Amino acid sequence: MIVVCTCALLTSCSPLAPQPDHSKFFILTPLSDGSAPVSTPAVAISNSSLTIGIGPIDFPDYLRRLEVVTRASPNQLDLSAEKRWGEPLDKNFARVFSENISRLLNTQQIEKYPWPVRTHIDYQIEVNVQRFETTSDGQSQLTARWVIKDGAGTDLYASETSASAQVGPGETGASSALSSDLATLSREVADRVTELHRRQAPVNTTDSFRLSDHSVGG
Amino acid sequence: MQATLDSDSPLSVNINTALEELADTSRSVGELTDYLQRNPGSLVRGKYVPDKDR
Repeated sequence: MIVVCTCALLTSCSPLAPQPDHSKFFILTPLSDGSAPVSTPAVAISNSSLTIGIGPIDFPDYLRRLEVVTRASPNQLDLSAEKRWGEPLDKNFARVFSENISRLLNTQQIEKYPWPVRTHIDYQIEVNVQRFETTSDGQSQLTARWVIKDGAGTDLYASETSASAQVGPGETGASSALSSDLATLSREVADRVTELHRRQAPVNTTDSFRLSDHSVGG
Repeated sequence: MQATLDSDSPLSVNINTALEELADTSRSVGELTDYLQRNPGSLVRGKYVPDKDR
């Protein structure tokens, strides 16, 4: 009897035999290296090397898990059994967002919240993520409110970004669609920081832009 | 004293790291209990993966 049981345990058809791990791990990617800078003003302010503080980034609790979440219907979520994020999605989001902002504003001085009290920050970017997942009908959806503050913590600009992309075929379709939504958000924020900075500290090279703005407005 | 408690000092960096590790730990324990709550049998029978996720 014991022998039979032992044999059953050791053979591959036993339910206790080791099962292969089919887990797949996904990660968001920053903007591609080959992409051009947003616009010329972004390059113009690059010499002043802005210090950007990023965070706090508020992330919904239902996304703070390792399983990949899909919205099956407006009121229902689907957690994948085998598709997982390589790191918690909120941390991945924050890191890739910082990387995007760094590339778009052409600065290496990015501080992650919470930074030391005495650190000088030119602009702080606060993000409040409302949605960041794919839907079962093949669309990715990112909705986020964001606020740009100056170094002293005064609100300079607040807005909301809603980005959506088609989920491509293949395993990585969802993560690359979400990455492209995140890139859209990063571009909108970076454009706004560039514009705020141009207004606050006008340098000679941007005077022509300001003049043309006035002529269009008038 | 000022140098020890400074926000750049090794002490506060270590404390921050430790707190982050603690948060990661509680998150990971939370994930496990959440999974076991949904799949209590997985302790005995292993992980069930529906065909659609394969």
